[in-house]
Amino acid sequence: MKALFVVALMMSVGSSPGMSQAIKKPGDASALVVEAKIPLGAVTGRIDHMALV
Amino acid sequence: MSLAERRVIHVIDGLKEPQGVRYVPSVDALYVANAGDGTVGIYEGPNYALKDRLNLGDDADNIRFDPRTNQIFVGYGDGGIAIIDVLTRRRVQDIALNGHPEGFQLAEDGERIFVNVPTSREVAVIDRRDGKQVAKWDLRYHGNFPMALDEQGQRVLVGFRSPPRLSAFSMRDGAPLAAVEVCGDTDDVFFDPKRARVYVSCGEGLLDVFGRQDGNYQRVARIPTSPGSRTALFSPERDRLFLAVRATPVEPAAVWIFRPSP
Repeated sequence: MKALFVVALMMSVGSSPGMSQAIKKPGDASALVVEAKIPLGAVTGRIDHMALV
Repeated sequence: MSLAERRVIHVIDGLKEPQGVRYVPSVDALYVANAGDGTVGIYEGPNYALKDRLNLGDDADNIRFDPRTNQIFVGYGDGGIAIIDVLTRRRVQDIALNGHPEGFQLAEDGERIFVNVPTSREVAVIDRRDGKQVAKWDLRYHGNFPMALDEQGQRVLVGFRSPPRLSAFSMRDGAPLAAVEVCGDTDDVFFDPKRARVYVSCGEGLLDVFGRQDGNYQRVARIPTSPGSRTALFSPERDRLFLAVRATPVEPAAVWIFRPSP
């Protein structure tokens, strides 16, 4: 389990509109620049914790 | 999720309100705390097989790990932190608190734990040698959920939701040192030692970035994200901030990866 990322989702699986839509860009502030966006699939609900492996 | 492949590669389902997650490399195990049934699941190996389940009773929440002692710390219930030995997978100690612990941090000195206890409006200071609370810092504001340590500056950073504030306290004695307004519904706070910066993620749909200068905090940037996206993780080793973006009517759920600069 190397080089992985773990997300705790309190999720429900279902239709999630907009998977094919472009994700809105956050602000242009240079202090933090968006490098990538990893889609989580058709899940909804609160995402409460994360961990790196 | 594979960071290299940038995709979801495995899903563990059937959990009861999963909360804290932590991977322990020394035993190749993933610990998952479940608020719904008060258990901690231990998963091992390439197939993430459930190897053990410890019952803490109620509302298992945040997880921390000390690699020096091979111990997992889990906040739970109406006021406790359970300590689990990862080699034996046994609960070896409990620390009593005055209420449910939210964000907590293990100090680098190996002797203290700082714990946010919002229901009693305090930061509890734990002496790890005997597992007892040895100090209580009374707080001016409410809703102290996230916490980070600035070991460089010997400061405990606490995020409040009411009113929305970031406060810094002396790690030595809890003396309040600075406070600054932050975005609403704050849920995570991180200190970036390389840049002496603080990152605050908020459910309001904002990321606040502060610089520590002369003991005070100046906002460097306020970055719009997405409503409800308040869970984040900063890795100094990878020099990246990860933000969990929940699904909205117009956007899918995703993890956004931010690169700090300069």
